[in-house]
Amino acid sequence: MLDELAQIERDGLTLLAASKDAASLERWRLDYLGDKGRLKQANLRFREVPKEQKPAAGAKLNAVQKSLQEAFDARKAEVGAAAPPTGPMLDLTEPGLTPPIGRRHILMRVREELCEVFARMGFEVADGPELEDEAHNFTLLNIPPDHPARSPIDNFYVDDPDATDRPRMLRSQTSTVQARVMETRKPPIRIVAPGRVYRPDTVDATHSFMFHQIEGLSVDRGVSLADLKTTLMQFARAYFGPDADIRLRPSFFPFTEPSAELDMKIALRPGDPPRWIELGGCGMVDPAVFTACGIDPEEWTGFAFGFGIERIAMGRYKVPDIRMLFENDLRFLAQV
Amino acid sequence: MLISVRWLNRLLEPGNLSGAEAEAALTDLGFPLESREAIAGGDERLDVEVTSNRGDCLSHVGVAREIAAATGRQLKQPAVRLRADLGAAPGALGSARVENLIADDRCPLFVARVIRGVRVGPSPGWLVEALESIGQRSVNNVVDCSNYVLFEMGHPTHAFDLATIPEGRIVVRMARDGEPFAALDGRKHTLSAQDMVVADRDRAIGLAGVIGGLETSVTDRTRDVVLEAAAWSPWRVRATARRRGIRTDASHRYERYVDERTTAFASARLAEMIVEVAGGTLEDGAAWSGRAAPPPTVVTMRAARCRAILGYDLPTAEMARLLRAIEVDARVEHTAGGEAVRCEAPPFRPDLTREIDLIEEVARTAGLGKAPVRERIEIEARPPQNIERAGREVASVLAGLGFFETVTFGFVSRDEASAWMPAGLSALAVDESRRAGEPALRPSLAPSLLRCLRANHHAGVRPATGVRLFETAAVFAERLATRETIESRNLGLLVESPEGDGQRALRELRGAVEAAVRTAGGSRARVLVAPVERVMPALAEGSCGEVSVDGAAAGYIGLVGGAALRAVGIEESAVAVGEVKASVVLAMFPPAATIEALPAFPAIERDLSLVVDEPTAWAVIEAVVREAAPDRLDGVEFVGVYRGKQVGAGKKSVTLRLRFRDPARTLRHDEVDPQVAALVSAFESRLGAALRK
Repeated sequence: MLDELAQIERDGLTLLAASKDAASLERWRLDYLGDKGRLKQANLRFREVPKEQKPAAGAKLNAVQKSLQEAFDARKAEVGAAAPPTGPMLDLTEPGLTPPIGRRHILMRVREELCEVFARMGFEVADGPELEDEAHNFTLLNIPPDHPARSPIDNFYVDDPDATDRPRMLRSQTSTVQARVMETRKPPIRIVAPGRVYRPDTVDATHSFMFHQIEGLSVDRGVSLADLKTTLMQFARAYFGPDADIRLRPSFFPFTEPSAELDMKIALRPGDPPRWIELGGCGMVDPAVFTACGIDPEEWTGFAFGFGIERIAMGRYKVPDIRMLFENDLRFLAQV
Repeated sequence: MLISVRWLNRLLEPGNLSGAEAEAALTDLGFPLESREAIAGGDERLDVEVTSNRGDCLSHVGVAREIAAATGRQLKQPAVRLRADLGAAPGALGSARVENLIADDRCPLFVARVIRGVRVGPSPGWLVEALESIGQRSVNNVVDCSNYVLFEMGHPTHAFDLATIPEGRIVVRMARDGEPFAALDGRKHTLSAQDMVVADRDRAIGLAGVIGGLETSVTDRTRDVVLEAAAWSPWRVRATARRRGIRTDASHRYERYVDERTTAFASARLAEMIVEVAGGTLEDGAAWSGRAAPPPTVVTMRAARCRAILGYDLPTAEMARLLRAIEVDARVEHTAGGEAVRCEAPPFRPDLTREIDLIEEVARTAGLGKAPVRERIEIEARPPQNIERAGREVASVLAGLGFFETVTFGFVSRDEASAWMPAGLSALAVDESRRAGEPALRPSLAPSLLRCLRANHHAGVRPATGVRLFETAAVFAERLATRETIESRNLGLLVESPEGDGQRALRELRGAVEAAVRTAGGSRARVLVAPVERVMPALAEGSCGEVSVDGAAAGYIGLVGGAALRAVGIEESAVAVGEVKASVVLAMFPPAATIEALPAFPAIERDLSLVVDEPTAWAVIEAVVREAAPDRLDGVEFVGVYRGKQVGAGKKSVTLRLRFRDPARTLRHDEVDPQVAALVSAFESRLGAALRK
């Protein structure tokens, strides 16, 4: 009702300004202020307004009535006095002239928003190759040679793992970047690693064989589970709003111990009611991972976390099907 | 893993657990529920997710133990009257004889017991109901007992018909290559030397840890049974199950480790249950063969280390209490290094071998919610990351120029890969069965952008100004000579000219590349495009330029050739593509500029239109100007090209703008006339150009 009244007021004032003579003014008066005019019509529907909204709607109705009546009176006085214009006039109601502009992809927007929030928390963006070796995708992450996660069925190997010493593969997780950073840098380390990962999933509305993850890693002296929870809570509140909450449920991952599933109580879309969403995994870096990467687990401790970027982007923009993200139809891309 | 709440309550004291309470406790302990449903008889069935490290919880006893610890109940272990330890090693006893030829980590223990005179028949109601409550079908009373023990304590067992095994002689060995095996499910397998089997004198009668044999199974005519309880190597069971394409409740548990120290108990439990349900007489003792049982795992957990990982203060005695609740024999010790908890892991928890494993158990059973969340974090200020900032700014500028950012898959067909492969490189590909039709890793972003163009055309999306796309992503190839892997992050662009004007598409694309480079590297960054032979077969002949940025090779631009367009199903169209290495462009950020004072005096501009032969390139005209080096020349600009009747066939008119300036004073026109005249004659003599009036 309030929106409708505001629209009546805008239309009325615009058309009133365009009324240039007594006849068009009278037609306007009948359209807006007359017995069968738009305001009267709106008034008739007043009883359909829910009770709790009545006071506001009533006040607005009176205000619009007053505004239109005053504008009409003023315009009537003007039209009587002014001479009709000659020559071209400015028309501010013609549509704007915009050069054709493009858009960032929503996945890349969300990636950057996430990196920005983590940057404010002292996390640098780190990068690693997508074409990986087993050492970084598995071995250094405490996933031993006979582990089922290494099955060629569940990975995109470029070389046959049974026939090659160092088979190459598309990384199945961004945790590979953890291993690469820890191999080459000394702690303290605080990084996030966003990027593409590949798993031969059957494609449907929520699964794709290529998707994006963001991985976080913090290594320092005295880093604890409480630091992990604090960091994730700070992130959740900074990105999703001050009412966000987090919950950790025990789980198992080879490269963290203790390990946990990460749930966040968030409104993915501003204004929606917050609800619990399974977002990803997290935990304390397993000492075996530190040792494999040449970091002394007695001196340093750390935590790691990871979650999917598509999940957040799809929730935030209400994308119904993950495949839309990769079709790149301009009508989709232009909606942001 | 399906769990019956009623079954759990038989193992709990007090046995008054509700489905909702079970769900809450299990979720907090790290065993979330897939589902919880009411089933016949007022029972509830839970579908519990069990992580791969917790094979012990693939059983009612395992789940009940966790719930007992979390809810303050007692676990009522099923009791056996038989001695659970086996005594000295009698390979033969009574009617059965066991020879374990692989009594190492392959088959640490094999136990056989014999019951004579069983009456095979239907199971009693309670047993049928218990199995049905977790979705299992009753077979007969003997088989049902074996299944019951599996779901009760998580230890698989098997019953053979003694009459089908000559002399009751069981041999545990590796299969022979090509050895046949007929499985219980009716399928026939040909085994290999990597498979472990249970055999009689002549043939395999069980595929170890996976499935029993058909010919030796218990039937209505069976009188005497041999009961197998054994421990097997997890990875060998997994390998066999995968090779043979069989997944059973038994293999699922063996793959997750069944400890040999629980095997004797499972054997006794099964034997007593069968005698109770199906009658018969249990022969004294067990025939068994195995290696010496390993000693219990003892781990010392430093209390201070535990507190450091948790990040909150938990009394050492409380740590020990939490661990004892899950049957870890935990005792507080005072050592030189401070308080510690000496932990002896129970045999069903092979996952507890390190200090961190016990810390995790403390964290988990105390509740992860217990770790505090603070209001602040400490940070060390770090400089902004230039590559990130450059990427963002370049993408924003391109979007402002009308380019849409895409995210496309990294796979293309083998044909696309070869069409877009630079010389000297070859394609990398994944197994065809993983990505049918497009197994190649893309060597270029262009084919992916072309597919987007095609998809938009097919959807009827054709903006009046043409489609413009960009993406920053990795491309892959391998060097033919050295097999060196190449992964490069490229900025790829595509411009379509709706009028079919290739020159226009190329200029727009080049303009976008220049804008991207200057956004990262500043307005003085030098972008050169040198005409070269096409760098990929998919590009049109004579359309290709090599892009260099401040002298460094950065990429290419070009028009997509007709064959490549037709290959993706795009009808005749002018499409320009280009790629530059993100590492070269983004690394220029932030622009290093020195601001110069603005000119104090106005310039004089002169436009010249030169009629030249069609092949005369702009770069040549520019070079003539550069070579002549007219006095006080401040700059030369390309204005446009005109072709038409007035100019004549095979000719074009190129308009350029010359700008003259003196830094110290205002120039007069007569001061630049001689330079312009000299240039015109240079154009005439060098290029045969005529001035167009």
